[in-house]
Amino acid sequence: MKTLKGYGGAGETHEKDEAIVDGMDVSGSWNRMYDERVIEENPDLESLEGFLDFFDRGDDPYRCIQCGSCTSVCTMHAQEPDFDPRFWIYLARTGREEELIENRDLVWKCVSCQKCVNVCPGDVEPEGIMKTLSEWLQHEGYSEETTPATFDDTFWEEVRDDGRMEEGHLLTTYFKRTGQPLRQDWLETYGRRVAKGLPVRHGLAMMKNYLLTPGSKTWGNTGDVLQSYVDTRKRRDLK
Amino acid sequence: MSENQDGRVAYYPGCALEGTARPYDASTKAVVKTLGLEMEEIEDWSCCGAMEVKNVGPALETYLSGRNLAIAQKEMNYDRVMSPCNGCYNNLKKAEHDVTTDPQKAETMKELAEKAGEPAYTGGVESLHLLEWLMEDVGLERIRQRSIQGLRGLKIANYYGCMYVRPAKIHPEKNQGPDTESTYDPHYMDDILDAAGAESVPFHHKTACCGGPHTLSDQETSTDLVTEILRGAEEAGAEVIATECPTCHSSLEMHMIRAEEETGFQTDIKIMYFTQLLGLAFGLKPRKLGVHINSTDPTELLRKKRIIR
Repeated sequence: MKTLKGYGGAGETHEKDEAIVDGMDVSGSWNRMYDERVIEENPDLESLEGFLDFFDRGDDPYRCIQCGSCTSVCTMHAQEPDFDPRFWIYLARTGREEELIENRDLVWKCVSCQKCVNVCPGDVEPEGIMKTLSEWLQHEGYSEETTPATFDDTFWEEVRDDGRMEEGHLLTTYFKRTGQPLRQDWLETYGRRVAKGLPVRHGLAMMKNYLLTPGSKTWGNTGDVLQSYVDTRKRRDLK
Repeated sequence: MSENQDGRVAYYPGCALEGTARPYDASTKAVVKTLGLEMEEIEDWSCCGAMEVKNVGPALETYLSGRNLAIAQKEMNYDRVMSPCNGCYNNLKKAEHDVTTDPQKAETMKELAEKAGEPAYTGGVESLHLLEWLMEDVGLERIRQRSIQGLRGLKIANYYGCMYVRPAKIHPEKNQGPDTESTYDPHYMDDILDAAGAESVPFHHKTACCGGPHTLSDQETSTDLVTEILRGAEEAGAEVIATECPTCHSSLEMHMIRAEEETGFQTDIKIMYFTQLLGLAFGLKPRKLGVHINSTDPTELLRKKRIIR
């Protein structure tokens, strides 16, 4: 008697006179068995799973029923047909790293519009998976650090240091880090159009914010506590 | 309305309203004062983390918003927090959702608060967007009465963006029938501005994405998305796009310029905060509402429409 595991699907077939499936003796009632289609143990998945766990996405890909709702509402899919959250979730849960790496120039483009999160019937939160995959691709060295990742880090450091984000600092630090010129035509035009009507009072307040970054007065060691939370989790789960 | 607070809320402006969105802050305060409402700024609020910080650590944003809610509740004795910013509002709602549905995250928040010596948020505060506060505590009839100047049939495309409505699971109070807000076809801003005398046009891009967090880090995409929104508003016959989010507002303004420079796209459409429009309808002075700080100068249009002199 052979114990088989499986519920049908397009896997390899087995034919037996006697069979036990998931502890149930089903000998005689039928005799054609299929192996499971979903790959349960894939050695390649290990590094990816650590990442999914770190970002609280551990179970998300496994709840996906591949209905494609996420892709059909996706802002980026409408811009770029190869941007396909449904496909990437499939790759993530089957550990197809090679194919994920082929998509490294697209995955990071998710604009976090939450349309996929909104429609997903399995509560998978595809946005979070895409952000996680993008982090993984960078961490494993398959992709350069993306510009949004630099922006996220710069943003976090702004908040961590005094509790608030000051737009001028964020912009200049981000441009410096990504090697972009601080003066860009379109932003200068924007600045000119806004500045022409800016009352002195508002201008001075913004200047004060930029120079003194007053932030949150009671912030104290909160930034350090939050940073060490990020560091411990990273060390534990990602080595 | 809560019984013991007489329509008052704790005000959470957020970082953008201290920076490029100063006119939103100014016009919000002016409108709130005119309507006889009261709000008190949260003492020493912190950033909500927008859409960026969650990518660095999953519980950080829950903590940041939880901190603001806890200060309002435990140190200022409020049970309602109001933000005019979609990003802040979304994170407040998300923190509320996490605290009630995700025990692990709630536990992490408690631990972090203890280490930081700050009050921990454990639930019990209602988060409101400015639009919701106006609908709940003022109502359309009072707005209609107060609109002594009125918007004289100004054609407006109301742009709500992403964070006011999505994901629907963090908005259990929405989609509860015709009098409530809809996450699929939001209408509070349409209703309020129409009551103030405007003519809101049907607008397919109400909840389209402007590129938000990638405004600077993926400029090509943002310009494409903004161009689509501007085209949509033009096709709908709008003269003004009304915004209720500082990120959407500055993204539309900035990428309108970038589209002019990169693709030659031109449009006469003006972009204004809905509070600026509402203030004008109440007869407040444009300078007081920061109308002249908008990158698209609406003065000529407003004069032509005889909304201002």
